[in-house]
Amino acid sequence: MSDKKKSVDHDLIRELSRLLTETDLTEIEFEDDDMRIRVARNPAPAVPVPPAPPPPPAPSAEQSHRPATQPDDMSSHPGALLSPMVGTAYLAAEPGARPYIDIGESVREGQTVMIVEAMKTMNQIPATRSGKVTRIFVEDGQPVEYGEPLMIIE
Amino acid sequence: MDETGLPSGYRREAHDSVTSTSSVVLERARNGDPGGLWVTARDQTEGRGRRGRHWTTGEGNLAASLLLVDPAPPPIAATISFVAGLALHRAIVGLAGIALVERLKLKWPNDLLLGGRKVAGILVEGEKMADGRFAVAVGIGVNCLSHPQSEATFAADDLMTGGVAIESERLFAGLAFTMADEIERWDRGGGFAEVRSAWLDRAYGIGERITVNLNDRVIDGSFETLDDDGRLVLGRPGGARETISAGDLFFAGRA
Repeated sequence: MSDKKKSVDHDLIRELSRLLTETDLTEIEFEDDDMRIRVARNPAPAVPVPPAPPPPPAPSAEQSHRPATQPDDMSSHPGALLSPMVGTAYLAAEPGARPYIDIGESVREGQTVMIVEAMKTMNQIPATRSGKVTRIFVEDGQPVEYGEPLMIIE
Repeated sequence: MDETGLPSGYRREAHDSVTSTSSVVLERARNGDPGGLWVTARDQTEGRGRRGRHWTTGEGNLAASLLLVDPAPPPIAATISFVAGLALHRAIVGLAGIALVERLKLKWPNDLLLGGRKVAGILVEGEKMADGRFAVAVGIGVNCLSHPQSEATFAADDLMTGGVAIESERLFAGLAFTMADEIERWDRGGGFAEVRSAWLDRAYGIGERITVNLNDRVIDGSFETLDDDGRLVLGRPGGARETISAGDLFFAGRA
């Protein structure tokens, strides 16, 4: 990224914000060759979005069915375990079986804590550190995106 | 090829009976196996399919798992599913004759159908080892001589009943080569575009109306194609498109 990309085009954002209000939309995204700006009203404040990485190419069936509350802000949590791939998360080895792990339980690094399935490939997801599971963000069978926080281990 | 009858770089353990050939290869990986290991068995006491489903290995059928170690980064490794399906299709057609391509089709993501009935299943399992290596077990079960009568979610058949007589040991010998060949073409995921194209040429139900059973709901639409990552692209009524990375497919108006 060159230096000029680092400066934010305030006029453009102001213009987009004005459009947003006029049109009563909640979100406007503007993109050209090397930058992308998304301006949104509630719930998120207006933020410039860095140009890379590109979003997934198509809306997925899975995305449309996700819970309203997303733990996106948890991805930078030091204890966050992030999904290594796009797929479907399973908390137990098979339907009806005991989950690999529950909130409040201790795990050791390397222990399998869930499975993410993609194209019938069942990937065991290991704990990236030892500790206690304090939060689990996904439900059994829920679609997950690359880098999405799955749980917090503290 | 060496005296083992396998492509170079591959080894084989042949068993009479094991819990599951994939369980065995993952155990070998945990004990330091470098990969390229095939484990085959005449019988499996705990053969498994997707989401804990039991897989029955009837007498004379093929149960084989291939261990790969660090074949590609985990997000890309999932596409090995298509590599395995394609290799199995090629192995069977190679032994039975090219005319079979009219009836032998790949069902997304990697089952094999003969005349619309399932004759083989593939299950890939990935596991990060304690030493940091990423082990992948490619489990392949083929109904050569018999098929289970019940408990299947999709109509099952076997090659023999479908008019294709291939003994499991001959099939394994062919599969070992087509698999090595397709893994080379796949090129750690870099060659997936070619694999995808070859897979689509042999796919079942492209353009047809399908129903997809997701974990918690069922959706339908038209099976349009695969995206660049191998996910199924479903055209929904009304024109929207959705992509699916995990689910069970059913074809409208077919058995």
